[in-house]
Amino acid sequence: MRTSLNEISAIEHYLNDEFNATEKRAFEERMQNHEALRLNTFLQRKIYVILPFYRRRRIKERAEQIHDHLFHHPEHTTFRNSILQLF
Amino acid sequence: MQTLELTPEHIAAEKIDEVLMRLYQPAFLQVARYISKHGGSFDAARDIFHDSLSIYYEQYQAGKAIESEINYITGVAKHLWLRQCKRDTLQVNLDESPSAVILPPEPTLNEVKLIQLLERTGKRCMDLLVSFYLEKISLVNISTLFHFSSEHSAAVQKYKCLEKVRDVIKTKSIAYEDFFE
Repeated sequence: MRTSLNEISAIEHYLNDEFNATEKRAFEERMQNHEALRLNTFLQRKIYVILPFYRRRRIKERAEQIHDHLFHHPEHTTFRNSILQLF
Repeated sequence: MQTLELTPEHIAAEKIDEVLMRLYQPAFLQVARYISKHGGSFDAARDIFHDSLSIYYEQYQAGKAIESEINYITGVAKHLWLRQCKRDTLQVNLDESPSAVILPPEPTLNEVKLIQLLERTGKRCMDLLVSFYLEKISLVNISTLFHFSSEHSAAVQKYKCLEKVRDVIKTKSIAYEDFFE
């Protein structure tokens, strides 16, 4: 793999706490001395944090499609009426 | 005989559909009853319900033990509705305890902007990363779904996607400091 991808792999190991004590210390020392590595580690952690939020939006999109189907197809009239009569 | 090609989107959608279709009607009925009883509109009930469903799916996929799916979804909906009422300063009857459900974190405004940006510029990569990190699909299966030549190739692509998403964040000049909220 390219050096930059190896670095991404190393950051992943660090963030997942998969390094042993020596490797972890060495990585943290490198971070102290390299601002770019610090920034990349920060951004990679951010990606892992936003992934669930991204998926929530995808699920909501799908829920909207199911909703449209249930409220526009005659075979679901009973369900639709049971909801609409509440409002 | 014509063979239908399965794309990652198909697979993910099928998995999500299985859960959503099973729960949609009984859970929406319960949530809609609650929202209408507390002064909400049909549209508000739909929005709150879809947010609740997506939060439920997250917990389900993470393997969290949930005793009653429909009660959990309704509990989340109650929380979200009360929060929305407070935000909109609507009068609500607070006699009723909103249930013991604890809501997972919400994205910050900057995170929402970032996700919208990635939906436009890095959707395939985000889908791949979701498949691997959240749906826990193996690299072997990811290589098939995303048409990579091997498991190794899928692993490399996963890192390339992390790099791409990271670079999107950088190049779109979203301030580094913005994330320290």
